[in-house]
Parts: sequence; structure tokens; C-alpha cells
Amino acid sequence: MQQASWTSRWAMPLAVLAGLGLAWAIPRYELINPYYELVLMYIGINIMLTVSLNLVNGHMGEFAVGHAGFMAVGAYVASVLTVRLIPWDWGPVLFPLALIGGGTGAGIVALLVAIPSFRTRGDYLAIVTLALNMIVKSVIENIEAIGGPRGFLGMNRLTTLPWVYVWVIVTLWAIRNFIYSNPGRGVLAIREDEVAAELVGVRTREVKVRAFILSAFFAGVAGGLFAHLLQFIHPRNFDIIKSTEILVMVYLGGIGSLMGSILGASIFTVLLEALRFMGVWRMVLAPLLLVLLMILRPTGIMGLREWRGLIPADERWRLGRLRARKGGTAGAAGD
Amino acid sequence: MLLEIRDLNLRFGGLHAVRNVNLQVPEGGLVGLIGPNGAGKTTVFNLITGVYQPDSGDIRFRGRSLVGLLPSQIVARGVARTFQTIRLFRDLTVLDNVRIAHYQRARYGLWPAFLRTARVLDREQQITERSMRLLEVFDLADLALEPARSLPYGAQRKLEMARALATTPRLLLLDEPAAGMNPAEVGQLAELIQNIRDRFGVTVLLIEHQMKMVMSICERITVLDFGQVIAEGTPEDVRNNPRVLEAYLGRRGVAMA
Amino acid sequence: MEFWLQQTLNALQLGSIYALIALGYTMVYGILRLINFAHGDIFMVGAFIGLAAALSLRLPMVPTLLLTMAATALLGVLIERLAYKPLRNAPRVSAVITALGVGIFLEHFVLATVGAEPRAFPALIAAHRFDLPGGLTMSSVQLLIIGVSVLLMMALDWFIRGTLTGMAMRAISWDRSVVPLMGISVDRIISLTFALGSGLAAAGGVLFGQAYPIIDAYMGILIGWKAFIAAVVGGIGNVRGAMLGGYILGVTEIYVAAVLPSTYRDFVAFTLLLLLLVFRPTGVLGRVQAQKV
Repeated sequence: MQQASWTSRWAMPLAVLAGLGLAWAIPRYELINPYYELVLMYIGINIMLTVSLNLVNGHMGEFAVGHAGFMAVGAYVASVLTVRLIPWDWGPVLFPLALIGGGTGAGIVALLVAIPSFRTRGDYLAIVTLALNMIVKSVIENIEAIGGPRGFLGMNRLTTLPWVYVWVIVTLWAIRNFIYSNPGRGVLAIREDEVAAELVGVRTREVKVRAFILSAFFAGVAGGLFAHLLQFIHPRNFDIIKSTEILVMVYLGGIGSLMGSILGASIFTVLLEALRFMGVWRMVLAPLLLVLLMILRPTGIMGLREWRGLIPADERWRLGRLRARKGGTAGAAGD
Repeated sequence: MLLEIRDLNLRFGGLHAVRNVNLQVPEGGLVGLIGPNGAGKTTVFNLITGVYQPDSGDIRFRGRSLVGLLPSQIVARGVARTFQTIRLFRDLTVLDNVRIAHYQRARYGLWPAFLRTARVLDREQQITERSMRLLEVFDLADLALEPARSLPYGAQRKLEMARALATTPRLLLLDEPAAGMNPAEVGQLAELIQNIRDRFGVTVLLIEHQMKMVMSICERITVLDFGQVIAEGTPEDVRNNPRVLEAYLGRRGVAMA
Repeated sequence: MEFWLQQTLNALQLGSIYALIALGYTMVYGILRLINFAHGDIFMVGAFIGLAAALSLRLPMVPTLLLTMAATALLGVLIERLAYKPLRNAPRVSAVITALGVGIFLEHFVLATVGAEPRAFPALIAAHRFDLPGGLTMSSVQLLIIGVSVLLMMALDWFIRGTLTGMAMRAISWDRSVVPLMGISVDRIISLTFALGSGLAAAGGVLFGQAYPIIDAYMGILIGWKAFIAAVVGGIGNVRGAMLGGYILGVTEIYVAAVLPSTYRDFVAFTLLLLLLVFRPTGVLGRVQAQKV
């Protein structure tokens, strides 16, 4: 089996661990202003939403417009679990399970989008996903038991910076591994040419179902984190405006790029917060900046490129060897 | 017979694109499918590979019917193809184009993929190595990391073939692989196709307009015109067949020839 | 029975407004393959321009309508020139995001300048009730909306089918690259398309203000998406399809609202539409695009 160099293999994992340490220390020792801490958590949640939507819209080249619907399912399922089913004291310990429950619920709902996607594409799929977003919102509004149009409250503030950090890492890691593996490469093939993909053996239906479910799962988890940060959720939190925000973050950062999603989510969240002093004019200026960006750089900040650090180490090593071999140094040692 | 097509029919609204087509391809053979433009040749390929479903008739591959299967299922059975207009994954690297064709042969599942286990790393290495070996056969190895769209035309056609072969097919359908090539390139391609047949043990069914190549390498040829088979036989049979001449040159053309 | 016929009148009223807005989506999509997500907000801006005209100029219905349509048409052309034209050769999604951005801009611009409070749209025609056979009544507003809409749609249909410019529009939707070779300025036609679409949406806005006299900055979002769905249901890119789709949606919504609690209104409407799209993805009048492999 191949071996990459020590630094190449361990740099990222160590950085991730360092980040976790920092994420734990910040609230524990009150290292920064609680407001900034809140913003960091929002960034994390937005990163999860952006990366998960990017999988479908960017890597797979579809046009899903109702991502907030999955967030809603996750938020409500997780909240119902912690408020109604899990004893209060067990909340912090079982929080991950509640989140996973939320994500699973969202994943199941994703089938309602995945199956129509077998036959429809592009603009028509946009409608299907939009309709689903509206339907989810409508269904929630009609269920009195979870507050209906008045919203649902009572959640404990279980979302903390370390938890958000952990879930962001899990999201990135899972989706990264998926994309760079055989089952996930089918996603890219579908984006490039769905018919050709099917004709070289990619089981496109299977790939689509997996991608949609995966995408919805992490949106659902993000929704659960969101719910336990705000401690109050309302159908209006998850409507088309929210979906549009997530779309903007995806295309701002760059489709098909994990780093792009991180950047897009971060910049968007921070920008929105920074411009808060402008009051309502904030949302007059922000879209103008967005339009300007699109005109100047239509593929988003990262375009289709990926940051080296987010490519799995083994793949990086493999590509490095191929590059070296191309330079005429056949059989040279790797890295 | 590796492939048997019996009484195949397909209509597109008012157009009877494929009419009672019968076609047989013996195992290990190199068979040509020719005919004027619009005769329905690519449509037959599309029917074999499951892109279209026939209105009637049967397509039997290794004794089992392919009708009603999804294209990816047909690929799993051992049928691969290239396209008349090149359909590569343009923004992906040459290497990835071939690696993707290993989708059904990866031998690891979704959950190991998430965890990127040792087995996954192992298999990924093997897939990459196998893909590179395939690219070497087609002289494309040095271009492995280039985006597919940047390749010259001839190289793109070869990449399509490499990609198709990555699925380890028993039957390879080539749709006008020589389109746009000059005579020298066509000669090389003819050699390449025969090499592929011998080296990979695949049976080849070939759609082509370049008559010299078809006549020189095909063992048997079927001729289509307006969706119907109008001739079938060895290259000699077909070359001198008056109906074939008429189909290509028209009646007046034949009179003048 | 009488109840349903009465509801049908309501449905025709709502459907007319959806149809007017849907036309803008479908024409722009036909010609540019772009879903102009800002279109719903153009409808909203049109309503507010109409409001401003009605309040400050105090003109009767027809002049107000024409003025509003003209002003909004100009706005549509401006948006096209500034935001969409630079992206004509960029990846389609960039244009879509830009459209979303323009929409958000319009919503919040109106919010910032006019305020968040919903505004009351003054009545521009005298209120009458007409008695129809079968015990039905029709209000003058209903008559106005349905009448004006049908008139505008007929005019548009004639324009697209009967004039050279209309033919050029249809030609561009089939093949954009060939049209300039025939001496037709694609830019002009595109601007005209946006002008027509925006003008019709503005008409929808003014008429909406007559039927449902409370308007606010966010109303374009939901109505815009519904009109978009109406365009898709009818077959996006198809002008008559958009008209048909608008009425299908109007009928669906009103009939559903007549039987189910109002909270179900959107839900059932969207579900039915989702089902239609699953079984007939190209919409009612859309052309089935056979893919060449």
C-alpha cells in the first residue's frame, strides 16, 4: 500500500484537532465576546447548509431550490425529540441522537425529491424542490401539536461551539469522502453528462437517491443545531427566503467546491452581520454586491477548483505521483 | 451468437425509424453496420444499450433479453459503447473519465466509502492503476491529469474507447469512431480496433462511414437504409450489392457509376 | 352548482393575474433560457408604482394602468441591460443567482423607501354588481380584471403570431445564434421581451391592487413563485401555455380554498402541481424535447 509523507498525512487531522481544542476553549474560558461566538456558530450552521446543498447543486449539477425544507424537518424532529421525548437531564448527552434523528427525518423526506429527479432535470426539478419546501412549511403550519403557525419552543440551549464545530467537520469529512470515492464519483459524472454516465455503468438513480439523502441529512442536522441555538422555531424560518440565502451562499463560494462552500457561507454570514448597522438598507446593498460579483466572476469565488487540503491525502499523493511521472521521472518516489 | 436482434421495431411518432431489423453478431467477431445518414444505425445502438425501448422485437445478449433494462444494467451485462458525437465528461480529468467507468466494479460499498477504510484506499489505488494501464494502451497516459475537453479530437475519441473498455465489456459498440479523421489516422484506428479485439477479447460492432476501413477490417457487414436491413454478408457481398449502391448513390448515381 | 360557478368567477379573476405574470416568466425563459426570479418582484414594484400614480396623479383606471405598465416596462429593460446582459454567455446558474439578487434588492429597496407597513390600494373604478343568469353576481372589479387580462393576452398573442417582431422573438427561442445572421438585432428583441413581460406583470400588479387592495413589499415572492409554477405547468417557453397555466393554477387554488381550511390552500395546490409535473414534466403545452443521443 502506498505511503504519503508524514506531514501530508497528518497536517489536516492535527489542524482539525487543534480547531476542536479551540472550539472547546472559547466558551469554557470566555475567550471572545459571546456575540462573536454566536456568529461563529451561525457560520458553522451555514457551512453545513451550504456544503450539503452544494453536493446536489454543485457537484451533481442539479438545481434544487428548496433546501430550507430539509432544514425545517430536521429542526422540528430534533426539537420534538428533545422537548417531548428525551428527559431534560439527558438532553446534553443524547443531543447527537436527536440531531441524527432530525437528519434522518430530512433524509426520508428527500426521497420525495430524489424520485422525481429520475425523470426531470434542471428547471423542472427546481419546481419540484420548491413545491416540496412549500409543502413542508404548509404541513408544519397545519400540525397543531407542534405549534402550527405559532411556532415551537421550549428547546434547551444545547447547541454549543464545540458541537457545531464537530458537526461541521463531520459534514465536510463525510461529503469529501463520498465525492472522492467510487460511489460519489457518479455524482460528478451526472453533472457532466447524465446520459453518458448511465451508459458507462453509473447507476444514476442510485447515485441521485444517495446524494439527495446525504444532502438532506446534513441540512436536517444543521436545522436541529439551529433550533437548539435559537430555542424557538417557526415555519417562517424555513421558507423560500431561507432557501434563497443558502442558494446564494453556494453560488457565491463556488459550485462543486467544498472550500468554496466554507468561504461562501463564512463571507455571507459575516457580511450580513457586519452590515447590520445599515438596518433595512443592508439587504439593499448586499444583493447589489452579489450581482456585481456574479458579473465579474460568474463561477463564484472558487469556481470549480478545490483547496488541496480538502482533497483526501491518499488521492493527493496519487495525483502527485502522476504529475511527477509526467515530468519524465517515471518511478520516482512519491511526494 | 453473442448478440441477436430479432424483428426490432421503433417508431418516433410518424417516423418508422427501425423496421423489422434482424442482426446477428458472433462471439469474437468484428461486424460492421453501415448505411446512409439517417438510416437508423445509431438508433439501433440506442436500442441495444437501453436508451430507447423498442416497440416490438427482441434483443438478446448472451441468450438473455436486454429489453426493458436500464442502460446501467445493460453495461453490467457486458455491453459498452462510444458515441457519434463525443460524450466525454469534459470538465473532469482524462483519468477520472476512465475511473468513473469502474462504478460497478469498485468492490466496496457506500459506508466504507464514508469512512475511507484501508480497503477503500486499496481499491482506489487499484482502480487508478488499472485506469492508467488502460490509458497507456491508447497512448493517453501522459495526458491523464488534463481536463478531457482540452484533448485534441482524435485523442478524445480514443479516450471514449478507453472509458468504454474500462467496464470490461464482452461487446463493444463503436459509433463512427473514425469521424473527422484523416486517412492516416483512419489506418491507425483500424489497427487499433483489431488490436483491441484481440487483446481484450471483445466482440466489436462498428458503425462507420469510412468504407475503406469497414471493408478492410469487418468480417461481416449489415446495411441499413430507412430503418430496414437491405443487405447482409461479407464485405464482397455487400460491396457489389445493387441495392446497397442505390441506397448510397441513388438510382441516377448508380446509372452514372 | 351555483356556488361552484361563483367560485369559478373568482378563479378566473385570480387566474388572470397569475397568467399576466406567468407570461413574463415564459417569454424571458423562451428567449434566454433564464428563469427570471426577479419577475415576481417586478410585479410587486409595478403594484407600488401604480399605487404612487393613483395616489399622486389621481388619474382614472386606464391612464394609471398604461402609465404603470410603461414605467415598469422601462424598469424591466433597465434591469436586463444592467444585470442580465453582461451574463449572457456566463454559466446559466450565475444569471439565476443574479436574478435572485435583483429580486432581493427590489424587495428591500421598496421596504426601505416605502416602509414595511402594508399599503391600501385605492379603487380606480366604481363598484358595481352585475347580475348574471343563473343567480350569479359579478363585481365590476372581476369584470375589469378578467376583461383587461383577456384583452392584453389577446393583444400579445396577436403580436407574437402576427408581426415580424413577434416572429423574431419566437425564432430566437428556437435558435439564438442564427437570428442575427438574418439582420435582426437580438439585443433589441430581448429588451422588448423584458419590456412586454414587465409591462404585463405591472398590469397584473395594478389589477391585483383592485381585487386584493392590500399590498406589501414581500407579496411578490409567493405570487411570483406561483406564477412561475403556472408558467411551468403550461409548458415553459410557450406563451399560450403560460396563459393556460395561470388559469389552471387559479382554478386549483380557489376550488381547494372553497373546500379546505385556508391553511391547506397552498399545500394542496403545490402538491397537485408537483404531481402534474411528475407525470407530465414538460407541462400541458410544452414541447417534449427528444434528446439525441
